[in-house]
Amino acid sequence: MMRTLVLCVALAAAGCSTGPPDVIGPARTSQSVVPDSIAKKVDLLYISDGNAEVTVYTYWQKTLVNTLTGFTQPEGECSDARGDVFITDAGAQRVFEYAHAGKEPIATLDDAPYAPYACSVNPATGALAVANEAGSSSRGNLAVYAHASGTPKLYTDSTIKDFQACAYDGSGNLLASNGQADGRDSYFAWLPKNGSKLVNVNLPGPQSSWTWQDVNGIQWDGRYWVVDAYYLYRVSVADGQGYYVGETQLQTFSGLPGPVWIYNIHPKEQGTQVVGPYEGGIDYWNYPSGGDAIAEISKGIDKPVAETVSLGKIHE
Amino acid sequence: MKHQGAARFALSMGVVAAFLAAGCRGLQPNPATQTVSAAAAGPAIKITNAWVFISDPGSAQVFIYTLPRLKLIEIATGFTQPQGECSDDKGDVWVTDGAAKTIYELEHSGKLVKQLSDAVGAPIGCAWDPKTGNLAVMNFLGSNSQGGAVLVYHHGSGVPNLYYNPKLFNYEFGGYDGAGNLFFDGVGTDRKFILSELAANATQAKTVKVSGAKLHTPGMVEWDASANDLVVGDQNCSNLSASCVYRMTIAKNGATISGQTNLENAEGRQVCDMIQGVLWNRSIVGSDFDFCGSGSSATYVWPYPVGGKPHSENAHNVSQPFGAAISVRPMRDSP
Repeated sequence: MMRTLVLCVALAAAGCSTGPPDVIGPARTSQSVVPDSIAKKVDLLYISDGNAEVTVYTYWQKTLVNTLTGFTQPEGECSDARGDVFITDAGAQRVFEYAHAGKEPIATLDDAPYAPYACSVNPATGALAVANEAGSSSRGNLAVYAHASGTPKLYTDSTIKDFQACAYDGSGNLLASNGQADGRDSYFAWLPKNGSKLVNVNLPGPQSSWTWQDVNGIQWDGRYWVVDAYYLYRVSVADGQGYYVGETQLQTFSGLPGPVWIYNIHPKEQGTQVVGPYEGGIDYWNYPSGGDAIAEISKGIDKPVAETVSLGKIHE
Repeated sequence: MKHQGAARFALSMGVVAAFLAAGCRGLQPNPATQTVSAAAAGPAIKITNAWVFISDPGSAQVFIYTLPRLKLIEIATGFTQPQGECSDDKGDVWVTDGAAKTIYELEHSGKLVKQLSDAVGAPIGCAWDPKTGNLAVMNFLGSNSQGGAVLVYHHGSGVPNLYYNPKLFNYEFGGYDGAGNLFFDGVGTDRKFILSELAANATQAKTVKVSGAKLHTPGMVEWDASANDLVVGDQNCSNLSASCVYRMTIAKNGATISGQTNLENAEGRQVCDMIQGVLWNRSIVGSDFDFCGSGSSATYVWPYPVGGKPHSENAHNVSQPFGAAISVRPMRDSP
């Protein structure tokens, strides 16, 4: 909170309002120390913070690029092949889209009356899936926005009341979970490519009898889905059936307070690094080997809750 | 996450009310009584002593139906994830269970005969070799992020021998021809369909080039001895959520598609996802795992090779049906 006030005071002198934004949605409030020309080229790490900000860093240099403010409760993030970043705001019941290195949203999806917690972009079609908690409604859902715009198609599930996690695979199949929305136990639903309804799917774990708990999120690592539940568990789903593949142990002191993001510059191969929040910062690990963290960011972060990586034009 | 105790397995029979009313007492099935029940279903239908076993991992059960009417006879329970199936000449049905890493052998009545452990992966499909009596099991995945394999259990017991096609990652369904050659499908690490052959006495499987159509998602594989061709299913025919089966002529230089059978529901819509069906008496018997439309999953008997709408249908039991196998009642049990 202190850092926010200092920023706003500084920006107020430059003409920035210190109160809530007049228009619904976030506004840029920070000055970048990284030239725009550089920021557009390099990979950027977007971090949703519990202080209602989203901080943006260069992925490899770990330099603060921007602080995006004006959110109510920023939660899960995702990015598409162009580098556009989608930030869910559970409090505002909206999803904001930013261009890579952009300072203002280029589009806003009205997700009301639901509370969006996570998202994923279908690499095959460009559709945006949003994992919704009930919000001011009675039941959450998976909202799929064709081409990341317009009115979504809503998918509800008989087992899962509220959704907190979702991820597309490379072919356009979607795996989703209630995460921790209904207590500690976590369940999964699968929306096959071209499917019209969610299918409950049992995912086996590393032992013959296994109950999933405390799932933070789901990611696609280029080859497998990764269920983020203290350790990272790789699973596969085929013919409507789940298979356990393997795990990655991330050495952390007390578990992660939010979902990880897998850094992957070759979508058809497995990612090579993973980033995830801890109380007060973001850690980096090698993937899939895991083990001890290899780097961290703590400057400018209060209570990180989620993150995504937007790939820069350097990879084009 | 938390770990639960050891998985329970106790195969039991759930006998449907109609069957109880027909005179069956207790939990032991009565095939003779069931044959009478099937005959009463309609005079135009030829009575058979064949039943179909439909695995349903959605309910962790195996449903046993008469053919061709698809009247429910038995429900075998106690599975974790029953998937692909195959049968032998005794009328026994083998059921793979990927989560339990076990293959169960059930007799015609559905009673458990024995079980095989799969220590190296997750079994998803099987095939029984009429020439040798061996049982081949396809593992979808191996351990520690490794790909699958073919396991061949000599005479359906003991410790299996493992076989691989180096180009294959996920192994799925298979079938033997009359000469002891095993054909099986799956996908490579790039998720593209691959048909493979493990020739009799070979130590390594090879890829079979398929010409005439592009297959997308592996489905049933079965040798049709009457037509001398291989029947291979595609769960995503033409890359759509629609299932079909292809007839393939096998030659030294590969497989050539000679025909296609589309499978429809009673409304005439191509079914969403038949994962593993089985040939029977100029029909295909299998189930549609329907996640595409507003209908429910169901089990069907389709005319083959014509395809189209089904001869019969049962949409009352299955939730996420997977595999199918035919069990012909042993002659010694005939009334």
